[in-house]
Amino acid sequence: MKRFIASPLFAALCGLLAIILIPECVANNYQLGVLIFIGIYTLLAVGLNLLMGYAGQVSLGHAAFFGIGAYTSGILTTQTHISPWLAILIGIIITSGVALLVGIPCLRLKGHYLAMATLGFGWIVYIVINNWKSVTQGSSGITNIPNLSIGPFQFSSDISRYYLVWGIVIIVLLLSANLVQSRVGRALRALHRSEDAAASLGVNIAWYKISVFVLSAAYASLAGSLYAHTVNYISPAPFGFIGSVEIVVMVVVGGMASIWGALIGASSITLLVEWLRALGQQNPKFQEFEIIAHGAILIIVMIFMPMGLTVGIRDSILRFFQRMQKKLAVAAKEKEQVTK
Amino acid sequence: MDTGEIVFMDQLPDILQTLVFGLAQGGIYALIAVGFTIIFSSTEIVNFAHGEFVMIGALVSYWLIMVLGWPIYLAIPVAMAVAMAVGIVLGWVLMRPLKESSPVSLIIITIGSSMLLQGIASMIWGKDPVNVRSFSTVESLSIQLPIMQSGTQQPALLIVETQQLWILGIALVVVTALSLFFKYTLVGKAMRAVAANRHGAKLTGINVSRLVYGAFAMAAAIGALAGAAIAPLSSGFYNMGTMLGMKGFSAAIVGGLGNFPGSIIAGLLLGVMEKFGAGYISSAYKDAFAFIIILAVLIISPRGILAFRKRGKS
Repeated sequence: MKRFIASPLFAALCGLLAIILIPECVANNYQLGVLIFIGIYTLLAVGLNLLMGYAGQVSLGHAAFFGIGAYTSGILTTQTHISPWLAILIGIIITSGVALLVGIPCLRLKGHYLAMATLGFGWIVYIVINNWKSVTQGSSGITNIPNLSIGPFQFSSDISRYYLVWGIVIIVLLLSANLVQSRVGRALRALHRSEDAAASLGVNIAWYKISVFVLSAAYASLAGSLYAHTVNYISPAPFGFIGSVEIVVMVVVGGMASIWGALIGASSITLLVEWLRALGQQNPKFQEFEIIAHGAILIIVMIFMPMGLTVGIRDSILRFFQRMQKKLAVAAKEKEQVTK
Repeated sequence: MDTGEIVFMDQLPDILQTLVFGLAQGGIYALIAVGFTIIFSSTEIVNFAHGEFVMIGALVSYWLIMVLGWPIYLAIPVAMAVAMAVGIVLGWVLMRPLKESSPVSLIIITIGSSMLLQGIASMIWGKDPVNVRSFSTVESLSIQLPIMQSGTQQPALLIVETQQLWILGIALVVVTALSLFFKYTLVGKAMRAVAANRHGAKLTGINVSRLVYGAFAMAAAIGALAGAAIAPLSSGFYNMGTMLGMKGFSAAIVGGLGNFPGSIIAGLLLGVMEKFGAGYISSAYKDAFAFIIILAVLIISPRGILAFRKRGKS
């Protein structure tokens, strides 16, 4: 029983239960929309966490893969009328190919240089999306992207999209949790600690780095396609530099090297951004403060919880309990002395 | 004379004109790259908020010169001082968690600061671009070239804006002053020692944290000077720093982080290549050239740059 509780299957069952129950408590379609976004960003954060948290490779251009997936889906389904499912698959294949091409030369770089190379790649993709107007429609974006469908059933209502996205999220989370428990996960953690030591123990570090890079790009592409088919409209904005930073922040806030942390990071940051946006819409004066508040929160979280919210909150709870325990011990001792 | 040569002679004035524009733009990139390099070599922090110093320089000098009517020689030092104060605060914020936090969380702090500063700037100055008058009252010079304009008997003209000359002059003075500073003064030598080996420098009694604040202040001042110098040519606005900062950083990497003459040459090259790319290949993709160059340099000679870094660290 204890083993069952510790297994990812149990966590997944709990998650499944939560996913089925949450719509019962949710009031309106706007909130369902936010939950869908959380699901999509969870996919992005899990993918980047495999790369950053487990393998220790920084990417500041992850929104580019998100964008390539979204635009492949958007362009193919609006211009050739192929099935959206096929478009998702083609998107994943194209994105993986691009990731392979970019990853092979770039992953030889380390630290800041890798961050800079991925940043440059992200900017190039963003500039191409903005300027290749004949294909991407530039800044006006692609409209009328079709819904996903199974047979005659269209995922057009928010509730059906919610179940679709979160069904996929649960599958991806389970797969990732299994992956990091496996031989591959151990190899990734080993090369994170020390590439030389891992290599000397027979870990093919170049191969592992490239594969995890391609895998995280494929997750991002899947997230992008889901975004395109659930919002039905894409424009370059979410796929730029700030988009990439947002995904990195989700990973760091949720906690590095934690699959469930990615879920927490994606939820808290998406809720925060939506909350700031909602405040701005209610009160036009606040719109000016939106970017200030956003920046300030990033700074404060990074200063006070450099290991992320999950670890930060866990640590402060642990500290609280330790203090309580100490107090109780002292009180018990005093009591003992009094009774003596 | 064959036809190829004639075509070249016809285009020569255009080419020279593009070169002048490119060099001036490149001078700005070089100044920004130098600031990046100063902060990186003393703290190993990649400062994504560096472009905001440029923005502060441009907008504060706009406010002092165009709104309050201050003379330029007074307004620019004040703009630099404002940026220095912001730089020191940023340094303080970054140095506090430096011990336990990873490079990624430091990068996020600088990006957060950059958003914060942009937000504050848009509250103070609004989101519309503003124009600043150029440093000299004479705005541009036309130089007669010793060749004829194509199809006419008029001599071809090369138009040089005085502001472009100012930018190149400022870049030259700053670089010379910096190399003298790092070579001959005690503070400059101490800064080099910190860049080479932080702990070693501490052991010899150098006050590292004070030097780090000094580095932030210096980088901010140079950034603000670049911002004040570029504002008359391309208008100033609250998020102008993002792209300029990225280009400056590209120049710093291409030149080899920590290498001042390298950043200057790379900055000038980047500016020239960008203007030629915009003029002769595609103006829509002009911003992409810097990133293609940075990717190409990182991919083709990562060893060169890494080797340089190792030498700097040893």
